[in-house]
Amino acid sequence: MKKIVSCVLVLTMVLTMFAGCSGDGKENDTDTSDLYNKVMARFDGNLEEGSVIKVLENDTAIELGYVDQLIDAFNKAFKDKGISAERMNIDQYSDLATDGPYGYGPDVWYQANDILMKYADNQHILPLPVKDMECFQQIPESAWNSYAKTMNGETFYCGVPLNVQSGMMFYIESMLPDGWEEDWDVNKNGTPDFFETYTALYAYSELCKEGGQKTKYGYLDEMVDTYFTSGYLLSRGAYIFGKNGTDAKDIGFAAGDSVKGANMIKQWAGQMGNTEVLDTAFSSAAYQYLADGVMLCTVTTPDVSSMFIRSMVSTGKWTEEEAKKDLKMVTVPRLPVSNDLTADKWQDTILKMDELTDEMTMMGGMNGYGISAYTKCPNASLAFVEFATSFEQAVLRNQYLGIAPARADAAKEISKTDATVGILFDRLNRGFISIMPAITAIGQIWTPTESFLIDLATDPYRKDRGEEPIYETDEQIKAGLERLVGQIRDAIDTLA
Amino acid sequence: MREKIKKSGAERRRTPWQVKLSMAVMGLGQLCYGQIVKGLLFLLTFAGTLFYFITRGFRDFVGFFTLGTTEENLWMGIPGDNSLTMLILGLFSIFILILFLVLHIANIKDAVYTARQKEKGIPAHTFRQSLQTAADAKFHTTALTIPVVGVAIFSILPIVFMILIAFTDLGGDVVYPKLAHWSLSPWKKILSLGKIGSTFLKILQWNVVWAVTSTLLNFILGLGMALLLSKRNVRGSKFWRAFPILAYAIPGFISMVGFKFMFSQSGPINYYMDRAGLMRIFFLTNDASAKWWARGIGLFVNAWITTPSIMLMTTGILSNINTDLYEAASLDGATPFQQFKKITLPFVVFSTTPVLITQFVGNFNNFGIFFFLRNGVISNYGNYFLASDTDLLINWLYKLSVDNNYYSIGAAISLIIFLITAAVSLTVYVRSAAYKQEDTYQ
Amino acid sequence: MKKKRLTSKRAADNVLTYTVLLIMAAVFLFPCLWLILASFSKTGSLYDFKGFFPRAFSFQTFIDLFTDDVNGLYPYKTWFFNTLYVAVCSSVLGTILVLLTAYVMSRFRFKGRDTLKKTTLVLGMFPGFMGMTAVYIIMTQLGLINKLESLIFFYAATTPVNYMVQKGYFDSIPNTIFEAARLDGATNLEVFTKITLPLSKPMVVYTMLTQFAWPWSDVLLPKLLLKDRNMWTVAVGLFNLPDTHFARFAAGSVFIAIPIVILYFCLVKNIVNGLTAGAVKG
Repeated sequence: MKKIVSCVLVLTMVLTMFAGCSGDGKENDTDTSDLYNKVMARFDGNLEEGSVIKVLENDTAIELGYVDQLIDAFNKAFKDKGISAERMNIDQYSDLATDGPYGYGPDVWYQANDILMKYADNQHILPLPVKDMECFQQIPESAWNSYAKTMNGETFYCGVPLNVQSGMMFYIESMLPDGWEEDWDVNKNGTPDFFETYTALYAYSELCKEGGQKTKYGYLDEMVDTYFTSGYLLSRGAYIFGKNGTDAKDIGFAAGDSVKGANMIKQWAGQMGNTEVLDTAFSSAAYQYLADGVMLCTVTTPDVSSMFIRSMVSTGKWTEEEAKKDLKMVTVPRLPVSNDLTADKWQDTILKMDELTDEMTMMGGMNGYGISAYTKCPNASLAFVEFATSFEQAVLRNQYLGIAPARADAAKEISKTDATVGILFDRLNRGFISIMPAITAIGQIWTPTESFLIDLATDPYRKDRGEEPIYETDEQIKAGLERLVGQIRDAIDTLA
Repeated sequence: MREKIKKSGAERRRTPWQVKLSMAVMGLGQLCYGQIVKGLLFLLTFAGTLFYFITRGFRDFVGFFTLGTTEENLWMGIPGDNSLTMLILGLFSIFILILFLVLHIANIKDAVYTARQKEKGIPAHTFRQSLQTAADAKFHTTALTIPVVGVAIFSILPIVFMILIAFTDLGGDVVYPKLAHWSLSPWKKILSLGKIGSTFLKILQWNVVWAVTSTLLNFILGLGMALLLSKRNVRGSKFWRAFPILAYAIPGFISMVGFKFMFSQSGPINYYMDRAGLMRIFFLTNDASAKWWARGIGLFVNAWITTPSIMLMTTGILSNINTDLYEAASLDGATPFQQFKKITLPFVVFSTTPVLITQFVGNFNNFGIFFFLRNGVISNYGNYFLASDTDLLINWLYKLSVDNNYYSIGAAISLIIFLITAAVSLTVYVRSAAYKQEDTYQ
Repeated sequence: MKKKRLTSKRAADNVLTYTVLLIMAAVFLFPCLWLILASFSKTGSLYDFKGFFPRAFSFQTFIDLFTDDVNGLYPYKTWFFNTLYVAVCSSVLGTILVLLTAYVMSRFRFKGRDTLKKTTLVLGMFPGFMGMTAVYIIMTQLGLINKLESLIFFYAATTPVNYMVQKGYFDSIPNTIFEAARLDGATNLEVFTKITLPLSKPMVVYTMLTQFAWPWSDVLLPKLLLKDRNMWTVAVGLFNLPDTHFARFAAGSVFIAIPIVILYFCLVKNIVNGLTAGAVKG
C-alpha cells in the first residue's frame, strides 16, 4: 500500500505564490567561495525566536515513541532560547515539491538519502553548513557523499546522515538447529556456518526442505526487491549510475559480470521453492513467517527489527524482553567466487573462506535529516538537526529502534553491548555498502529493476508450469539485463 | 456591411442616453432609470472586475503568454515565477474576461429592455420585480448560474489546463523552479518515438476489448440476476437481493484492495492451492503467465462491483413491462425463451442504451481496477513502454504523467484518447433513439 | 401424466434456480465475510492467516481502532467524522445543484441547451486525474488546502456534469402536471420546489445517497488536498495503512461499510425507482 501512496504523492508539479515580482539574477556570475557564502548566508546562527519547527519523521520511529521523546528533549533543551519543535503529522512520503512552495511542507525532514536528494536537484532542500557542525568529524566521508551535490564546482551537503541502512541477516536464535555448534561450526568461531557463506546457507536450506528441522525453510527472502537483491549484481561488477552515481546517462546494471550475479539470484529463487518470494508483499509477510518458524532467516534492514519483535510477541511464545534477546542480526554471508551456490562443498567455503568466497556488496541507504528550502526558520531548524544527530540522540535512537548510527562514536559506544551494530558501520567504511546515488534519476530505477527481478526469479518455476524458461543461458540473461537498462533509460531520458 | 452599419447607426439615434451610459459603465443606466439595487449590483461587478484587472488580472493575463520570465533560485533566495501557477491564473483571468463581457452584454440588453418598456410607458422594473423574473421567466438562467460556474472552475478549467499542458514542454527536467515554455515538443516526441506508438496501439487494443467485454458481461450478469430474482418460483427475493446490494454498498476501493490481497501470492486462495499440493498461481504478479489471470480477475472484480447496480436498474425496468404482452405471447404458445427474446430483451436494451453508453465510457476509462489490483507493475517482456500488459490507457497515462513526471506527453496522449472517445460516444449518442426522441416525448 | 411431467419439470427448475441463487449469494457474500473475519484477527497481520481464517480471534482491533491511534498515526475516529462531514455537506449541496441542472435541462428549451448537453457528455470523458494538478493549484489559490471544505466544494461543484439520470427522471413526469400548475399561477421556482421535488422523492434520495457514498471511497484527490493526518478521510487513512496492519484496515472497512449498507437496505426501493427512471430516459 505504501508504494501506491508514494506514487500518488509524486502527483503534482510545483507551484509558488503569485508573488510574481522579479529579482535580478546577477548573483550567478560570482566566484565559487563567494557562492558558498551567499548560499550559507541564511545560517547566521541567530535562532528565530518564537518559531515552531515542523518535523516530519519516520512512521516506525513515531509508532515506537522515539519521536515524542526526541521532541520533548529538544523542547526542554531549547526552552530558554524561545524555539520549539513539533511533530508534523503528514505522510512520511509527502512530496516536498508539491507542498513546500505553498508552505505546507515540513521544516526538517528525516528520510533516506535517495528520497531527500531527489529534491536537491531542484533546490527544494537546503545545503547545510555541515563543516561547522559538531558531527562532521564523526561521520565517514562516504556517508557525507550520499548527501553531496555539486554546483558551479562547489560541493554542497544537503543533509546530515544519521544512520546506515543496508541488508542484514535476521534470525531467531532459538530456531537454530540443535547441536549446530557441532554440525554447523566447522571453523569453531561461534557463528553458525550458514550465516558465513551463501554456499553453506544453500546447503542448510536444502536440508530444511527435506524436513526434520525446526523451520520449514532455511533462507527465504523477497527475491524481487531491488534494494536487497541487487547486491548480487553489484558484487559482480554492476553499478547503478556511472561516475560514482552522478551520471544518469550511464546505467550499469548489465556491466561487468552481473550475469553471474543474476545466475545466483535465479539459483536462490529455485532453491526456495516457494513462489511467495516472487511477490513484493513478501517483505511484510517475512515478519510473521520468521516468528512462526516458517523460515530460519531473511535479509532486511535493521530499522524494521521492531516489526519482527512485534510479530514474535504476537505469537505468544515470547515476551517482548525475550523476543529482543532472541532476535539476532548478523552481516550478510559471503558469496562464492565460483558464482555457483552448489559448486563447492560448503565446509570448504568455510575453511578456505578467503580463497573460495568474497564479501558481498549490498545496496544501502543513508537516512538523515534535511532542511526544506521553504522554511521560515533555517537557524532553528539547523539547531534541531544538530540536536537530533548528537551522540546522545543517536544512541537513544538505536535503543528505541535498533538502527545502526552513522556516527563513529555512537557506533563504538553501542558496539560495546551489541557487536552487531558496528557491522554496518564497518562495512560502510570498507566500501561494501553501495549507497544509493543522490540524484533525481534514482527514482526511475525501482519499478523496472523490480520487474526484471520478478521475471528472472520466476524462471526456475517456468518449466514446472509448462512454460518455456526464458533466462536459461547467460546470453538470455545478458539480453534481459540490457533490456532492463533500456527501460530505465527510457524512463530517465528518452522523453526528457 | 454598409447596410448593417447604417442600421446600427439608425438604432443609435434612437438609443437613449441611459443605455449609452450602461454601455460605458455597467449599471449606470439602470441607476438613472431608478433601479437602484440592480444598478448598484451591476456597478459593483464592474468596479470589482476593474479592481481585479488592475491589481493582478492584467499581470496574470500577460503571464499566460510568457509562462514566466525569471527563474527562482531557492538556494540564493532569488524569487521567481512559477509557470504552472501562471498558466492557471492566466487562464482564470481569461475566464473572468469572458464572464465580464457576458455580463456587460446582459447589462446593455437589460438597459435596452427598460428603455423599450419606458417608451411603451411601462415603468422600470423594481428590484422585487426583477427578482421575480429571475425566479420565474428567467428561471433557467438563474438556476444554471451556480452549477455552470462551479463546473467551469472545477471541471472545465482543469480540462482546458490539461489540454494546454499538451502544448508546453513541461515535465521531465522542466519542472518548478525551471520555467516552462509553449512548445510542440511533446507531439514531436510522440511522433518520432516508435515505442510510444506501438505501446499505444497494444494498450488501445486491450482497452477496447476490456471496455466491450466488461460492459457486456456486467449487463448480461445484471440482467440475468434481475430476471432470476423476478422468477415466480423464487421465494424471498428481497432476501436474495440483499447479497448483491451488500457488494454495491461497500466502498469500491475496499473491495478492490480486499480482492488484491485475496489473490496475492501469500493470499488465501494460493494458500489452499499450496495445501492441496498444487502450484500457487501467479494471479497478479508481474509475470507473463499472469497476464490473462490478471485481466480475468479485473473483469471479475469489476463485475462484482458493478453488476448489483445494473441488477437494481433492470429490476425496475422489468417491472415496467406491460404484463399483457406476456399473456398474449403465452396464449400464442411462445416459449419463455421466445418471450425473453422478443419482448424482454428489446425493451430492456432500448431503455438502457444511454446507460450502456455511459457504462462503456466508464469502463473504457476505468482507472481504479488495475490501479488497485496491480499498481507498480511494468511488464518486462513484450516491449511495453512504461506500462504493464493489463494497463488501460488511463493507467498508462498515470504512469507516464504522475509516476514518471512526463506531464506534457501524458497530456498530449490523453488529448488523443479524448478526441477518439468523444467522437465515438457523441456520434453514438446523437444517433441513439433516446436522444432523437427526446423532443417528441413530451 | 402430463401434470406429473410438469411438476417434475418445475422441481428441476426449482433446484436449478436455487442453486444459481445460492452461488450468487456466495459470490457476493464471501469476500465481505472474509473482511469481517479478518477484522477479528488477533495479530492483525495479513500473513497470520490459515487460508481465509485468522489463527486467533479477538475483538481488540475494533477497540484499538477507536482508542489507540498509535501516537497519532491512525486517528480513525477523526477520519470517520471528517468523512461524515464531507459526505453530508457535499451530498446536500451537490444534490441541490444537480437537481436544478437536471430540472432545467429537462423542462426548458433555450438557446445553448444543446451545446450544454453535448459539452457535459464530453466532459465526463476526460481522465479525472489529469486535471488534479489544476484543482490543486486552484485550491491553493483559494486557501483551501488541508481543509475539508476543499473536498466539499469540489464534489458538489462537479456533480452537475452527471445530471443525465436525474434528467431522465424529470422527463418521465407528465408535462400536464406542470402546465396545470403554471395555469394556476405558480412561478417556475414554485413549480420546482412545490411540485417537482415532492414528486421526485425517490430520485432525490437516490442522488443524495450516491453523493453521500462517494467521499467514503475516493482516495486520489483527498490525498492530494488534505495533508495532515487529522484531516484525512477514512478512505485515505485506510489506504495508507501498511500490510502489517491488515486487521485495522479490515475493521475500519467493516465499520464504515455498516452504516452505508444499512442506508442502502433501507432505501433500496428509492434506488430502484431512481435508477430505473433515470435509465429509461437518460
